[in-house]
Amino acid sequence: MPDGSTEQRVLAGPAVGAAEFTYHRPGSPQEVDDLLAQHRGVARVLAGGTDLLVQIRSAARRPAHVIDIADLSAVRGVSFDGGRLRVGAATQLWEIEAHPVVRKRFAALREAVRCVGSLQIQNRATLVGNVCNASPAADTGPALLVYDAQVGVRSVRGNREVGLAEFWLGPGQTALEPDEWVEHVTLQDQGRHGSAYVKLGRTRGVDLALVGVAALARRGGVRLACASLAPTIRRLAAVEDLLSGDESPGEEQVAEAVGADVSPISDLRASARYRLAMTGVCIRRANETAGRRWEERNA
Amino acid sequence: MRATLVHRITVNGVLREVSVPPSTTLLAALREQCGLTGTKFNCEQGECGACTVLMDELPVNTCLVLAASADGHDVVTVEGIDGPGPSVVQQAIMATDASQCGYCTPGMVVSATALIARCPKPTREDVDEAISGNYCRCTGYESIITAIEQAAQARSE
Repeated sequence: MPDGSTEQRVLAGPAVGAAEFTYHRPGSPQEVDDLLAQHRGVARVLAGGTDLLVQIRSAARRPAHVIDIADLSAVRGVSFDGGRLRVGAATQLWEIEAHPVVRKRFAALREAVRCVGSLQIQNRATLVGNVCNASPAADTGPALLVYDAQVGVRSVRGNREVGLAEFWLGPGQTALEPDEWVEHVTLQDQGRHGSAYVKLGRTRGVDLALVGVAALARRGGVRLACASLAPTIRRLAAVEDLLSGDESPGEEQVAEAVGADVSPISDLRASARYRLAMTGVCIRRANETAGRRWEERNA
Repeated sequence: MRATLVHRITVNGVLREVSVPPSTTLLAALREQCGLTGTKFNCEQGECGACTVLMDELPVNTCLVLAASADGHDVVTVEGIDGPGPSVVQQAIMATDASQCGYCTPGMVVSATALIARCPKPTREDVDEAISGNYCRCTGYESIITAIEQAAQARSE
């Protein structure tokens, strides 16, 4: 350390946490498997780091080993094959936003990605990291659910695919075993359809969603999923049934169905009552935009 | 245990070697190891954008990047934008008095530079979006936006 650095260290917040960790930069997915098996339960995969480093700094997580996969090219990139969009674990949000197939066929995902944090965050954060962080307020979650996302999990013991709804167990909790990690997430192409994501925040800029709703309209009915309204991001089954019927329901009917589907909390951002009241508004807006996009596709 | 790792990072076109403990952020490495204090330390959670640099040409928050993760990458700080003299954006900021306390200015310059590089004729909305991750707590946004619009115009002329 050069002379006089002590004061600077205090000012510059040198480290992300008081506790040190061992840093690994594996060269292959197999190496990630091995590291997680070797350091079972005390290692954490770092993809973008935009959540993990905040959690280490606040001591919410104290991994003894950090496995950095940001430069692992084997799990980086977006591909579209056999009707499924595949997003690798190290793929940053800006790459998803810019991908031509995402722009054309996964409108709600693109809109959701653009809502995550700031451009600086989107340039580092990953979709898979967003999924693994299991925040009930994650903007990308509702869009993933309406596109039937599957989570590609792997470990030294083998690979498995888990439906996204089964992957999230609670706030910050996933179905991952301590030696497992997520290699990719896949989304199902929905053929002729329209989709949209509507986020209500306190400001138009960087903030977590008070309410986030993704809608997907196609022959056979509408799909809806919401963020920030329950312990996990979830589909709105009762509202879907109501809106997929032949008659268009009244506002009160929608509100009743919303009440059956969600259980919002009051926190520093908004009261549960406000969230509930705004859910109907967000559903209507998302559903209208998705429906209009579907019509445009059919025209 | 304070193991030290050695990283090779290209900073403002020069290959630098930094040796730091693993949990060191790129922000701390730039300020303390490279002596580049234009990149500001503030919120430490990716909210404010004062620590923004270009990493492989994209704006990122250096408080949320480990120095270790920058190994092998190309980093440009506010000091390195358009060479040693004031850049087009910096000149426009001076011309429009778009800096008050000045703490957010380096981050604003970096974000605005990235915008103009990828979008030479930005709309007002483009500018708003480009700096939506950069907080100015003096709330002098209007003059900053004007400066960025003028810089884009000057660059495209």
